[in-house]
Amino acid sequence: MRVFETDIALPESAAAGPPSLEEEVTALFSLHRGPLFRFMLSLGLTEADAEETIQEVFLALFKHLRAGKPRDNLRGWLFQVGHNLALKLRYRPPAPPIEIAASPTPEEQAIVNQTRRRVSAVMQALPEQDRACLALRAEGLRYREIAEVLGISLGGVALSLERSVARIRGSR
Amino acid sequence: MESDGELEALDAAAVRTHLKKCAECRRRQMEILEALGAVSEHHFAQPLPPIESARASLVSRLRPSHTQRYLAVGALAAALLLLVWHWAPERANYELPLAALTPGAVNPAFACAAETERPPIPNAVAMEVFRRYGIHNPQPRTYEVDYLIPPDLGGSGDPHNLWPQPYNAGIWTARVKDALEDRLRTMVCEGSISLAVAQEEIASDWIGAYRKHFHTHEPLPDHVAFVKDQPWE
Repeated sequence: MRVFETDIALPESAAAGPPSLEEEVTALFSLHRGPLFRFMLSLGLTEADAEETIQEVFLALFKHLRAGKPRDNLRGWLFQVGHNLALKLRYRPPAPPIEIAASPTPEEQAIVNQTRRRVSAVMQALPEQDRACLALRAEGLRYREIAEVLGISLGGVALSLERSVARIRGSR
Repeated sequence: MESDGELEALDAAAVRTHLKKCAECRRRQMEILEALGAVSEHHFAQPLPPIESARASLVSRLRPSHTQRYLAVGALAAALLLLVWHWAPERANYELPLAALTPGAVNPAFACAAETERPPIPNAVAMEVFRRYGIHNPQPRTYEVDYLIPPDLGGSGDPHNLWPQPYNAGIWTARVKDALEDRLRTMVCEGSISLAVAQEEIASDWIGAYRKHFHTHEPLPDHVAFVKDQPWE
């Protein structure tokens, strides 16, 4: 499981002084765009919609910070706003399972690909909330953060993940 | 949840103790972690489009274009201009003059014995005074373009000695000041106060001088109705 910093301090150049708000938001974009992009795809957005939604998320972040609103757990805030915006684009069919390019290396890669296809197929078949829970968990969010992003209870997160794990294990 | 730190310390310790004793539970834990690992691997196998163009797009959307900035600045300037143009005449209420514009100016040839002339202020000079005070559309009978130091006390007709004093608005009007001017001239010519002191008092704070010499905080009723000079028309 990957682990990310909750909020990463941005570098401050002694010569240039503190970064402007635009620079700060752009730096946060560079940090969090990848995780948000994968999360958007897990919610069934196309790549184009995911990119546009992420732009909207960071424009909202800019307004949020410019208004002097709280800065604690900005990562959770980004996922939460991203989730809400993605829901507005509903409902579109989930993205098709990712095709893993055939590897020239023989057996081991074939097994890896087979496993990925299996997991991908199971994930696509999951209810959207379960898929979102898994995606956020994979991005390193804690149970409590996932609950806040999706607006569900802590127990709901635990049950969702347990249900998804059981399906993945059952697909072998 | 135990591995996520979500459980209370006591609960987490109990879970860990149980796991040590329960081989079946440890096996299930491993299966769960394997499944989550597979999910994570699948999750991160998704290719990301290059970030450069997306970042450039965001940067451009965060920064308003030069055209937008110029339009915004222009709109603000126009709004301020309109505000000053339309509201300044009605709102300008200089009971005391602005020291930077009207510090006062005197004519050294003053003498109590001589008949003092109080020449009318030419309209062009009055309009110049209004302009300097940002009053672009003065309403007739609203102001008296007044001498700060009156000719009766050696004041000159230099524009630096003139300001648009409200004629009727408020309580500290031009008519009240006229009463003070008469009082100070009498005191100077009687010798109870020097000319320089009288000029200094009326130029620096004529309202304070009025309160001091008439022993009152508010204008006396007779002085409110006092008519010596006519308003600008």
